[in-house]
Amino acid sequence: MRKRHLAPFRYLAFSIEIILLMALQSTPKLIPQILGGTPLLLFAAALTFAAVEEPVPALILGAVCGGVTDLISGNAVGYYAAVTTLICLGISLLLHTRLRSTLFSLAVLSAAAVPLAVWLYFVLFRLIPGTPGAGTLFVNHYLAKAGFTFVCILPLYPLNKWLSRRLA
Amino acid sequence: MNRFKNYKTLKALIITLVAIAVAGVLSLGDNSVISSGFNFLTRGLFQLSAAATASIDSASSEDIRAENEKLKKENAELRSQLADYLAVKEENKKLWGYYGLKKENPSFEIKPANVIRRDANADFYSFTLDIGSALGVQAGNPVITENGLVGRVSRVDGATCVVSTVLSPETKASALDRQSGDAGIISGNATLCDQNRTAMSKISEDNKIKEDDLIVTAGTGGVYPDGLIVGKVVELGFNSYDASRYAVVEPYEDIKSITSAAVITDFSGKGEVRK
Repeated sequence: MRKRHLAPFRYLAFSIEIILLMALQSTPKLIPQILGGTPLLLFAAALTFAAVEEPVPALILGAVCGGVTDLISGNAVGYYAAVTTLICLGISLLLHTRLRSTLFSLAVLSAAAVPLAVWLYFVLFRLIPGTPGAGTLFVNHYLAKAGFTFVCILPLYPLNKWLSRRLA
Repeated sequence: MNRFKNYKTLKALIITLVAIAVAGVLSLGDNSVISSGFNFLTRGLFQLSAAATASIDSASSEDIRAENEKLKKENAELRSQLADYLAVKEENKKLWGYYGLKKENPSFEIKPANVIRRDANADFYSFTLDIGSALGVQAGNPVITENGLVGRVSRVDGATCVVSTVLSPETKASALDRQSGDAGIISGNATLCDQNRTAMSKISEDNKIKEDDLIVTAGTGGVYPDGLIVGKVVELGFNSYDASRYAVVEPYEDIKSITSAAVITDFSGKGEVRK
């Protein structure tokens, strides 16, 4: 049973985490490109929030992480905000009703969610507008981006699980 | 109870999606309320983190490291003074470069800036600078370093601007081979961008472009001033799909790793289309 009086501290901790990951994700030269990709840390964090939070807070945290991802990319709030919200809601509902919330179950769901979000972005913003060499871009950057985003879920889940338990 | 819980979740989802739609509308276009507010609030954080990584980067060079080792034996005050001096010296060197450009082209209004963001979603190595419309920056303004053209401003708000680089297909600039006088269009693509290269296409069949030729902006579209260095020709090619020739151009600047740049907010001939 969660104690309501600790909830503000939990969300404060998540907010600090979002700010730190935002800085990490977009500071030049901080995270090196590996195989042409850098991770979407905020998206990875949103998925782990979804695993440890109830559906409503999960979708709100997803919207915040997605909205910030859109803004630091220099885009209007839209794609990542909407997609992350829906994916976080789906993951939270599944992990709180049908599955047990473990790293393994989150990893299985994320293995589908991360490539889906990255692939959909590629289709909507690169393939359909006809960006020259879109296929090369996908192979050289998007596959690695999806891979590293998935990998980042693995250390973020225990951290958020711990925060969630300590400040439950 | 379960139905009530589902109803609550559905209601939260609808409210969140409506909020996203409203935020999306409010963050559309240049100088939007949401983007300006967000960048105004976070600019300090990104300036700090970008400066921190830039100092880590400069300390990695052999000369600085050797000098730093020597200075470690001296007191802490001297070390900090030297770090300040090196930063100022580097900035001074860049500013002299811009000053030289300004002296050659008195009509240029040049605004120096620092790169504060390079996001994981930034295809074609676009980046964000820490100046915006408050300093007169507008979408479409050319962005340069002391080594030549690096791109153009694609999006601007009060505090920051996003730069689309010459490695991107979204950046198109009319260009000339300074040696042969052949004209073409500079535009990047996914195949070349990872090698810090762009392409000059739409060149004539009987062109006289050679490797190592210098490519400069033609300035015919009124978007870029004429004579800005784009890079040198490193390869000549033939596109079998549309039977056209192209030149692979390598900018003198390593666009993937620049930490500062300058925006040309005004120049003689801006907005004038010439033939």
